[in-house]
Amino acid sequence: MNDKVKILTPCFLLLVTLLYNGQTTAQTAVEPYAGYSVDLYNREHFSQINTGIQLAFINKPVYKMLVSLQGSFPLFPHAGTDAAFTADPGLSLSSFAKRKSGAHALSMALSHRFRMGDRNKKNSFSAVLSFGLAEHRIRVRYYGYDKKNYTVLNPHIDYKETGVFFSAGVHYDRKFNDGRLFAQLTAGTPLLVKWNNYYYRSLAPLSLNIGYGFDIEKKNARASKK
Amino acid sequence: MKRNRLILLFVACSLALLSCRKNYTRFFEDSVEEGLSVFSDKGYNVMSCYINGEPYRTKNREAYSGWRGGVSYEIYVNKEASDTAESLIFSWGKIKLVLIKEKFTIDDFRRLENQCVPIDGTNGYFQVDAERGTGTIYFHKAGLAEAPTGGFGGYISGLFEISTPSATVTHGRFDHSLDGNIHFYY
Repeated sequence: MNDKVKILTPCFLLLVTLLYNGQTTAQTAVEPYAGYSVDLYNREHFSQINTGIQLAFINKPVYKMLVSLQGSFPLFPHAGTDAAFTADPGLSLSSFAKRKSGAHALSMALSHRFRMGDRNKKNSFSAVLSFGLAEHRIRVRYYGYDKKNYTVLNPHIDYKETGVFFSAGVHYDRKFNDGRLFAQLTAGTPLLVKWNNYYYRSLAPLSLNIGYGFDIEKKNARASKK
Repeated sequence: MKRNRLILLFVACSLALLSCRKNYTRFFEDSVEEGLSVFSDKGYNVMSCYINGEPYRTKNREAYSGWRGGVSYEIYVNKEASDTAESLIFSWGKIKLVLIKEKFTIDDFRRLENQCVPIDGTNGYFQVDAERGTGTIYFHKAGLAEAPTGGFGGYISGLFEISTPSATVTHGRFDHSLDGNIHFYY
């Protein structure tokens, strides 16, 4: 775990805990979801499967504040070939190395959701703004060549960075008796970090997630009603 | 008044001693060979290798401004002439390659590109910590031209392996731009 994660994660969790404990009367909501995202920033547009959970700790009809935790995993690893060379005069001067790369991400975010239009309708749209902390990793693997004697020229190298990101999007809700089915389309910025890899950059995902939200009444809220 | 003069003197001395440093080396670690730079041809100005299994890399190419001034290079390429032959010497800190030929022209330098050259002791030699040895070197890129303002400019990149009585150098890779660090007069 790198230093940024060690420092920023507890700060983020403390902020969320303080905000959560500050809300004594509202209902909370839990929203598990899954979806798909495609990276818009790298030349290889990495596609990922997202899974995550959101907790709405300010849960008002027109405004929600949520904290979310999301993991993203490579869906279709990118494949390619790169040239490899040798200084051994007894071997063929060049060869080809096969390459596979895939992107992973883990993020925590604080989101604001503002409902747009009539609040009593069964279907509703909201605007979503988020900021948070994410770790992006792009893993590269070379195979199918003589690693002992050949060296890959300008190889793609692993990318790993942790930083702050922002995202914005649209959220759609459809009410049911026991909860809400929702779909959320968001676009995220790349991580606000210094570029340290000559090939890969951090991910800027365009995500479509679908999930179901359940309202949970907090104990202290129930007690205050009694 | 005296105090003001002292402050002024202190500020003047500080400004005179100020110097800025710019790094022209980019070191990206290889994911396969730990501790070594990647094998590149983009002018990252670095050479790295394993010497008896231990990673070794050249220092950064740095340009200084201010009172210090100048550039410290990680490689120097010099052409030297003797009565019978000319030597083209590539010096990377403790590692040196000396190519020997009757005469070296710019075209000879360019012809090294895409060549794998066995260094057998007669056409040249490697030197590790002043100890001579043999080996092979592959020049992926080798370019040289006379600059319009005088001097030479170019680039080299490639791979090498060296064997001396007490050192085995493996997985050597280099990638450099050449400007003030090449002396190729003829």
